[in-house]
Amino acid sequence: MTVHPRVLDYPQSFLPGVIPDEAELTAGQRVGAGRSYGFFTDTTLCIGCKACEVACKEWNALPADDLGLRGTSYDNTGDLSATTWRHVHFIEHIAENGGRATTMPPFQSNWLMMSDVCKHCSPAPCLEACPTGAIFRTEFDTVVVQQDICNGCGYCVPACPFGVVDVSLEDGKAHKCTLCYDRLKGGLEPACAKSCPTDSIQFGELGELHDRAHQRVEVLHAKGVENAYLYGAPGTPGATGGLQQLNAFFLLTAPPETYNLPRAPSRPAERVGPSLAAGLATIAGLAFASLAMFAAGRAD
Amino acid sequence: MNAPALLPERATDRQILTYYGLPAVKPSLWGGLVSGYIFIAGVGGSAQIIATAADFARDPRLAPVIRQGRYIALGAAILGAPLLIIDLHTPQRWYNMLRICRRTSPMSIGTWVLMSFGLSSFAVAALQYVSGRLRRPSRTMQTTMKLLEVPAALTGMAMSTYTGALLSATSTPLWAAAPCQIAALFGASAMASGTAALALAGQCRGASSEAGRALDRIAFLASAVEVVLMLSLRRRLYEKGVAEALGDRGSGLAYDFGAVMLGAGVPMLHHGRRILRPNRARRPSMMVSLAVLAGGFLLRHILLSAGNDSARRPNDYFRFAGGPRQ
Repeated sequence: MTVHPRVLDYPQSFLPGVIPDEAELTAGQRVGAGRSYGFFTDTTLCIGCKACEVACKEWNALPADDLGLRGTSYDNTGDLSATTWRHVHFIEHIAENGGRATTMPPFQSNWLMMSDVCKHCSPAPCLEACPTGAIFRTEFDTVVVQQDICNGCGYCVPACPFGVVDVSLEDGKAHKCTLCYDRLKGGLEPACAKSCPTDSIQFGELGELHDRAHQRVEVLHAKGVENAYLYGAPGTPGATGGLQQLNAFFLLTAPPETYNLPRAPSRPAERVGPSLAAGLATIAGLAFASLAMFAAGRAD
Repeated sequence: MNAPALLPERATDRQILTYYGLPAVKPSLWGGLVSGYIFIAGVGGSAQIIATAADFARDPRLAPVIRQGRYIALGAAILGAPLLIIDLHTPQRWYNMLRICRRTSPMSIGTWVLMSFGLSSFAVAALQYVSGRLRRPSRTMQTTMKLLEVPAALTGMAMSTYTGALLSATSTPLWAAAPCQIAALFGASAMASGTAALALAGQCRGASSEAGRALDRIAFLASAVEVVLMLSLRRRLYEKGVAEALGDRGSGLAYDFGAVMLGAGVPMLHHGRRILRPNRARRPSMMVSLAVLAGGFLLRHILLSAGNDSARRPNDYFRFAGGPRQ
């Protein structure tokens, strides 16, 4: 792994301010408006440290959740919510007879770990459902809820095909991952990706991330991890039913349902037309029938 | 242990791997206020449609139906809007709904439908009230009313049915699996409820027997269509594998006995009998009208809460979002 030459310009422990275009040093590329950015989360590299969860909470000043134990392996977070925008899944592979697995597939433990996040779908169902325009697509091709516009109607919550957006009952607004919109504006890499110690979460421009991800799948296949596949990149599972792509996409090694992801999510907006047409046709038919019945009464 | 193959098939259709049985999508935050609104919007929208249809028939004996329909429509618009605003989690920002007009969002479509329905219903009802007070209503007033009742009835059609699209344009399995059936059912149920509300108003405020006869026929037709659509919705949900939330003892019984039988089946038989034997049972039963209204609300409330329930069932969602069936 090479270090960017500009890193040598900043040897001190305490910096006087933000490093200009810091993302170039930490993620290998500058952040610029008008280009598409996203996350590539490679679950084969995840070690379940939850640094992403902590970094997200710290940077975005999100309050702590319930600190109890859930009894679901090492996952005591549960789900993404208004106050949790990164969530690490823990799936322990147990052998079919119910006992512990005693053998291991190549390059994997018997654990699956995956850091879940808002997929910043393209097109985004939450954005398409938002009646106030509070949810918008940014200049970085990410999806953000404007807190000063949202009136807490909550329609984005059931619209999301991944159960990401949530309305906080504390402040009555919808919240979700912003892909660190404020950090991107300042030329910084998103907090979760920067804090990831194994580069399981990679931030970057989408085209480049896709190339990197496809190469990674090929490398894994060559090493014998034949079940590795991408979820959410164009033309892969997750990018289905009108969803062109998920800007935050994943490399998985088990069926999507294992990670609580739908096999073939769909874009709710595609149901608006058929639904309205069926409803209006039915009621128009009944309206004309009523007119006929009233008119028939006159003839009597 | 064998490594799972690339995108392995589901074990069985009924049994899908889940993540500790935790929900994969979030349920809506809607409750009784929203099912109440969906019901009221249907009653008001359809009352306006029926009033306009009656006006088009040019039968002076239908005047009470027209008058009462216009007032019921206005009442529904006045009652419905606050219900929606109270349901917001930041209600003081309700006006942000008017910032944009978005055709992919039934909530945005509904905002503008409710606005235009409310305004046109208000205009028609106000003209109705004024012309009722005048000894000789002017021709201009009559023409204006005739011109305004058409958009009022058209937006009334949207009011009665857009709420189906509102539910279906989500990722909630029970709603998303039947976009056409739910919207059509809401439409038929709205016509039945609107007719029941007019029949009740006729009982209380007086109506001609001609109006009663026509309302009987509309009620029969709407209830018959409603029963067919209720059964076809049930079937569709079973086919899509998302009917379990509705099959639960509580909501399943409420749907079958409350909404289907009491709210649509019994009224259909009652009105059918009155059409066949007009001389027996002179007055339409108030109880049946009340049953239609109660059944209409129950139908919407059951579908709403069963939908929220289905969103909490990962198996239901994974069956809905399971791609092409194997």
